Amino acid sequence: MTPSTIADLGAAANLSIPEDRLQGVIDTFAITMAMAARVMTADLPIQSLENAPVFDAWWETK
Amino acid sequence: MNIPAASGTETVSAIRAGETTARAVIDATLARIATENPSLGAFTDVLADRARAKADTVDAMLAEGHDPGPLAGVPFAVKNLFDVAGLTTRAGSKINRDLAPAVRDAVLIERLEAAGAIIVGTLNMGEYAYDFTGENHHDGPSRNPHDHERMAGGSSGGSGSAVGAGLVPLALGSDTNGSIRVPSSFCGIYGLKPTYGRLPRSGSFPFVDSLDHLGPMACSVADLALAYDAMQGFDAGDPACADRPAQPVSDLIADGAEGLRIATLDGWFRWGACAQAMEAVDACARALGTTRTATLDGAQMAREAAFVITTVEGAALHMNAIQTRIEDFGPAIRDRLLSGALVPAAAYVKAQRARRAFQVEVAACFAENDVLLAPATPMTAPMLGAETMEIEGQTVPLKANIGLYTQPISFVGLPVVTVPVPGARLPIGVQVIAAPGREDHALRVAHSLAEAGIAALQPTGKVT
Repeated sequence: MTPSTIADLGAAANLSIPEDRLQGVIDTFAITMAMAARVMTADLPIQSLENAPVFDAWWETK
Repeated sequence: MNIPAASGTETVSAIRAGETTARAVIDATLARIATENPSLGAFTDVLADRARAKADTVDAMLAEGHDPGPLAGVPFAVKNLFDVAGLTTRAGSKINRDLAPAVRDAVLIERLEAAGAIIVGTLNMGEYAYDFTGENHHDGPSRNPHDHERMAGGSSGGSGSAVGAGLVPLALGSDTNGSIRVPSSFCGIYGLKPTYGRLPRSGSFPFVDSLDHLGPMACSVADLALAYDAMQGFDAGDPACADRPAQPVSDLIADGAEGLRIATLDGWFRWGACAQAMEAVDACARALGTTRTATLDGAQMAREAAFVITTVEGAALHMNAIQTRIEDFGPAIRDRLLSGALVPAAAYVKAQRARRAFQVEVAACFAENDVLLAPATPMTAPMLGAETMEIEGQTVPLKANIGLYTQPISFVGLPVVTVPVPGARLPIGVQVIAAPGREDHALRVAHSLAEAGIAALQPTGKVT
């Protein structure tokens, strides 16, 4: 990912990324997406968002 | 009694026995903070007048024959993301300093004070809790009580530093990915991250709603249990708080590990740690007489999914400020929030699916085991300012990897007690992990390890 790509992506999300932070954001984004890679390719059971743990004290309602 | 280095339970006993007074305890505590905090950077606000007034109330109640509660006269402090009436809840940030002061204490502070404990101040923390180091761009670092040039750990760095240095016997922290357990490990103290939803977060500044936990950090297992018991109970102010009756644990810890099936986690939890971290886990297993092992195959993906959820929810929480005040964030958090705002939504949704899948695997593991042991951190406290670490011969970013072993556990909301295991120079923590809602199991095992002398506070020696 190039600095201009990340700047354009940020601008589309109404984010103004300071020029001196572009490389830092690129590096951090690379780490994050490397973390996401296994999740993105995993064959995980489909669930509705309403059933996701984010919405309740989920050990209580599983 | 060596005030203020005594534990909370020792303090209560001495006050009740008339050997000292709550006022004397608080005066000694405030004096120690005034002396030590300038070099530690643990406290950001000290509430001297409030603490003295509360101490006088406790003493008056005792003089009149009333019971001030099980934590009578115990000084405590809170990470500065807890609301404290009259103070702005800064959450380690510059941006929050523009907010109006809180008009009410956080629920957990109210409950501790209702049990007789006395708040003496608020504590330094990593900015908006997005931190494993205890370094803060705006307030300076929380320093490690064993070596002031090393990290206290984060994000509850001030909590770890204050308890580890003996300024207070009890502090409150928050733990999203390890922020109670990491500073407990680096500073060599006990920490309890309860089951997700067990303690209400009402009146605290959030970070990642689906991962945030609050809990106590202390200098003994008994103090953790007393504080936990005082704080239990439903509160409607936190939508994630479980509506279930309190399950007191203080009277159970002396039962020890008898009858519990205890296993050491292998696989992911044996990869990447330094020799001291592994030896600490093995020493605990030996002391508990267990050779059982257990594997959580999904731990690595759990950790990675937690990373994704954290950055996305964190960015969403702060989106307005990211768009309008990006320069007011410290550099460490700025890049992470900007990056988090750009992560594909599909990654977040799949990360939540990974969470449910890991929950199923964890539940199966607890059908065969009651307690699991794992390192809390892959290393002892790094030097302040360190940016990289070594894992299996590879140089990797430090901040992204301190939570290797804590993130999979909080990802599914399990209760954990971190116990300190002393080392030649620095302590390190071991996670004692229990099934959901079984804080008693984790605390019983922690108590056994303390009784066996494996878990212990390490003297801080000369404060430099």
